[in-house]
Amino acid sequence: MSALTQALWVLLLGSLLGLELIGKVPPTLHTPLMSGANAISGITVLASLTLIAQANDQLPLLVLGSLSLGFALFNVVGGFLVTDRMLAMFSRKSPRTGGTR
Amino acid sequence: MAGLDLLPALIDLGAVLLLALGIKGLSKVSTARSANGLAALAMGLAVLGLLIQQPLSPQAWLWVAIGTGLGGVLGLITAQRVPMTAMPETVALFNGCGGMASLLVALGVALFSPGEGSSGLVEQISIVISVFVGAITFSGSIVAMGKLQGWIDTPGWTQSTMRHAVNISLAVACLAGAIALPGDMAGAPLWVLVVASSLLGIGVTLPIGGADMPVVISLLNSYSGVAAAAAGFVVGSQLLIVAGAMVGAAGLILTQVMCTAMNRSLVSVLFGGALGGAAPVGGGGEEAG
Repeated sequence: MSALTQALWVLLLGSLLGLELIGKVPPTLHTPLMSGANAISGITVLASLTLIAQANDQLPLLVLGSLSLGFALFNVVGGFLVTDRMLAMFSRKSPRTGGTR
Repeated sequence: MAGLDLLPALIDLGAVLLLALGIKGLSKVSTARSANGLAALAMGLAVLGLLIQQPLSPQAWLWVAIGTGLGGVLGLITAQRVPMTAMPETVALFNGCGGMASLLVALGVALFSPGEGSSGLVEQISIVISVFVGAITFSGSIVAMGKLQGWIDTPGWTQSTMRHAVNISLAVACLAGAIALPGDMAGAPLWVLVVASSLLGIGVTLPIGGADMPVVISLLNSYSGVAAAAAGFVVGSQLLIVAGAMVGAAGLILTQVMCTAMNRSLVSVLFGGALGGAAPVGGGGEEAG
């Protein structure tokens, strides 16, 4: 199997998995889930790191990669922390009832 | 040799599994907080696996440290300082930066083509998608944040049908840039694509009202997953492809769920009240509670 075919299979199966992962979501969780998924989309740090690793010490690539890494990590670190802050508000209330809304 | 290859592969598989469990757990109140931690752990694992596979030179480490320091510290400060009531716009800001990251990677590959140098059609298409979706995600998210913060008003012309003409011409410009790109990877077509996609992101987000913004942010979040998957094709990372695809698809479902909860259809959110549909239910923006 060529690398491309393999990558396309991965794309297809990943998309199908994503479609199935979320079923019913209580309205109180809409924003936290959005925020958590957003943090995960910061996984593009991997692309930034790969760019830096393959830069062969060319300065423009290192700078672009570093900038990109900064943006992606801002997304990841901020995203997970903010999601945790939101979800921490639930644990103070009874988990059964969730939010009041 | 075989052992060296196997370890990063296993780490990657573990990361995908944890990411999937994380997304799943985030949709239940009782498990949401631990699931968030699980997803963060998965992200750390994924980075570890990559660093094992692709050793960095000392100079590369320096630039990694700079990027990590800037992004990490700013993210930490922002996450702690931002008030609870401003959550949707904060998510929009983070999301836009994720899109920008994918855009920058694609730009780097297009401008300086590291690695083997011979760029095939697949790489060119991936670059186009990564730039297009990344730019829309960035500019759209920034506009969404600005509108929620009250920094940006809705200009009158965006409520007329004229905006469709503007957006369609921008889309045509994007298409032209995309078609011309393979002939001239680092030249004008690339910049046409970057500028037109960014303007298109503004053009489609600007007309949408504040109450519908959380839905739009969720949709843009889905886009940033797509941009990440495209960046995965650009740099050849299967883990990135699968994670991006997962977030893209899950984000789409969440967008649909949020629309249903607001008693709106996605079409009426995106193309405005002119197409009819129920009036937006109040308080959509305060769901974070």
